Amino acid sequence: MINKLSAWFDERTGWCTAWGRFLEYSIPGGPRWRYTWGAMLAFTFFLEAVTGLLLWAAYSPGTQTAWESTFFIQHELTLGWLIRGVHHYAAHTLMVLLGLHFLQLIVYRVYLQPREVNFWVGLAMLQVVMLIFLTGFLLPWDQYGYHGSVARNKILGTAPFVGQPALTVAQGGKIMGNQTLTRFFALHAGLLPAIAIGLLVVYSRLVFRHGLAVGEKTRSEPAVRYWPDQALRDGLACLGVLAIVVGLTAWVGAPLWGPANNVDSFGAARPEWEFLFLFRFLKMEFIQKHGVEVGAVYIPTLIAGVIVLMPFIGRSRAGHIFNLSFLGVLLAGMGYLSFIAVKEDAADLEYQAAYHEAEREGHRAVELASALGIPGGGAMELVQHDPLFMGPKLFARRCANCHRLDGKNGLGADVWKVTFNPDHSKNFAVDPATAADLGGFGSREWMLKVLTDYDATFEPLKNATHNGKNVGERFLTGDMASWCKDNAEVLKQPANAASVKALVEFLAAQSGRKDLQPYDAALVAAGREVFASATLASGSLSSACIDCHGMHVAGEETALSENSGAGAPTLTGYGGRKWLIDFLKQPGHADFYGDNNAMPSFEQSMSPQEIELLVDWMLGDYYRPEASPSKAE
Amino acid sequence: MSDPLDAAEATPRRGFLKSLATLAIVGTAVLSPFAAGLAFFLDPLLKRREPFRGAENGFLYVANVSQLPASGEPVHFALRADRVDAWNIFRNRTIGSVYLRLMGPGIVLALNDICPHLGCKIELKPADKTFLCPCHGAHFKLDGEQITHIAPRSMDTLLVDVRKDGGVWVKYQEFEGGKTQKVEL
Repeated sequence: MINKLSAWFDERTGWCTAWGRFLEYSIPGGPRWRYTWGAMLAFTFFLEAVTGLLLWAAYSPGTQTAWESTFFIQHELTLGWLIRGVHHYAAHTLMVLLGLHFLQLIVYRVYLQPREVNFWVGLAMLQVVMLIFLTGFLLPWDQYGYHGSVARNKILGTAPFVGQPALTVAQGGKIMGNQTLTRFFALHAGLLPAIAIGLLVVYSRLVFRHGLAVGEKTRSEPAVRYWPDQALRDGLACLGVLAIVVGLTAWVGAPLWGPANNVDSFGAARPEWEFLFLFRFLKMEFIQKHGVEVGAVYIPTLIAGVIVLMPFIGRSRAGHIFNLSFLGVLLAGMGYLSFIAVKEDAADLEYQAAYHEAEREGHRAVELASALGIPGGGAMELVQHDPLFMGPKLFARRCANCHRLDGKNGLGADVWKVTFNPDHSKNFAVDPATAADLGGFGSREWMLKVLTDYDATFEPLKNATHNGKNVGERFLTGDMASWCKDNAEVLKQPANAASVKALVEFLAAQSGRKDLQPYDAALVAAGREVFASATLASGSLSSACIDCHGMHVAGEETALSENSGAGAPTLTGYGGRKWLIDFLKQPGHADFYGDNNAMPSFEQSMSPQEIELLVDWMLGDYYRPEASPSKAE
Repeated sequence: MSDPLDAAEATPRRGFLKSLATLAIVGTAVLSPFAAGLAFFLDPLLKRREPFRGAENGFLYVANVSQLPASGEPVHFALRADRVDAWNIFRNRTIGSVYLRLMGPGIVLALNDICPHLGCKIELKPADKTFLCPCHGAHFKLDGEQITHIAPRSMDTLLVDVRKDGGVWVKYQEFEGGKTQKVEL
């Protein structure tokens, strides 16, 4: 019955016969693991096609939807992480397999007559796959894809005559945007794969025409049919590829960095590891002297020219040796450049810090998108309104020149003075702070530290200079410093611990900060007494806080005290949101440091929104995930 | 050949087993991407995602009862909530619309204006006091009962909560089209 049916079908299509012929295809010299290469390449391509079509059904090219839909695929859709991960790692696998395949072809001289055209078609396929690979990395529109593509596109633009017009067409404009994504997507998923499939058809026809390239010795051995021995090897090899790709997906996962940000520099930008050598090559001195196009266009074109001619060069024994040496030097050079690129990055503390910051931003963007949903303006709109995303960046950029946060720059890195050595390596010397470390600013611990350890809190000020003159010493020898010195003993008396604690509680409570709640009402009342009267449980302070500082407790009609105007800051709301915002805008205002002030005003140099983001971050006022931080899928 | 894989040709039984193993291995490699892909593609069936957020126990504020004429004439209202569309959340958007009718003191009828036939938006025809769907001519009385039998059921009523302050809250739902029974989407 089945035979009859297949006969009927075969008579009309010829497919059963063709299939049979394929299975019966005889392998000279019997099955070999070495022959599995073609199957592995075809299988990896198949994996890319299947996962690519699936991703196509979920991906949306656009500057406000590309990262967002990729996030949705990776973190929300059923098995999205798997499909995307397999697509990602199979792409790398395809590049590696193709590269190794070409190595094989050249080492075993498979390109010799009559297989020159096979070789060239293969080379063309390698180019097309490379372009699919490169266009694909832009599509998530994340920091890596975006900043990597900016550089790659500029390289294209350096090509003579056609470079810039080609770039403008590929990008759909002079700069990258929505049209770049739609075009790259059309290239990545449509045009280029169509060309690759066309070339694959031509290639496999040529391979069948000329048969497997085997030596005389193998040819003399008995041939064995394809099924099942070679098929088993092919199947196992493909399963191996699948295992590696799925393994990498499960253990590492396809990365999704923060959404593309074209405002801030991205110090962690690097190409995919396959192209790291080119990245390092372009930093070489002689490339710098002769221009990017020499390193990125002329030299690669020359090398490609030699490879294209290899079938002819390799005819003679000397030519073959030339080909092998050329290849050896090329690979050694690529390996060496990749190696030093990695080595330099490993020693580059700024790169390491930028990488960690990229990880932090990516993690936070995903956390916010998962919990809150993404507004119509896209993920950038979401993260740019998030104090935790923006605050540390703003601190590092605007505050860390003088201040530190727990000894670091706000992003967890040191602040360095960088010097460049002749060999392009960098030396990093930790730059001393010139203003107070703001870790825990405004907290109870902070208040206590200012009162009982004033010198240590403001010690970095001794390094503060302006136009060569010291501008910080006056704080260390000023009225508050003297007051702290005069009262150190009485403040540190064990009998007064409760009074000091109360004073601190009062200061914390009047700030109105949510993150310091709940307040101890009895302590607050007692602290207020100390603030106004200078009387402690045992003895009293040399002068009361209100003698110098202004204080108007929120919600009360009359002020406890007015500002003395002697440069002692008004403490109304000290450490709270409004106080901090006003202070950042005009630290030299009469209510703050007045004429003593040494800190720049940020009223002009930061937008009101930036100041608020920075302050809200310092006050810990931002979205926090529930106890279980990551949303398990 | 010393390779043990090739010795199998010796007996037909081992050859058959090898063919079977090959088939299984090749099948696993080729079919498993499709299996994972199927789950990915069928995600809309596997995971329920709420189309909007911001309802109180499922109810959305629509209007105040004072906005409804005592004559019982239906009034069309848009409902606003946070529209959830895959990865996006759009704050305070119209997510649907209903007809409200005052049936008696504190009694309000809410009708979804989506035609139970094939989903067009039903229009109010005040002149002849009926609802008419502009697409296929499904015709309904003002209480939603069908006049013609073009639609498989009468207009979909929605749960209403009239609160003390006169606020009319509606549990907004959409239902499958073309079915005689109300099946929530």
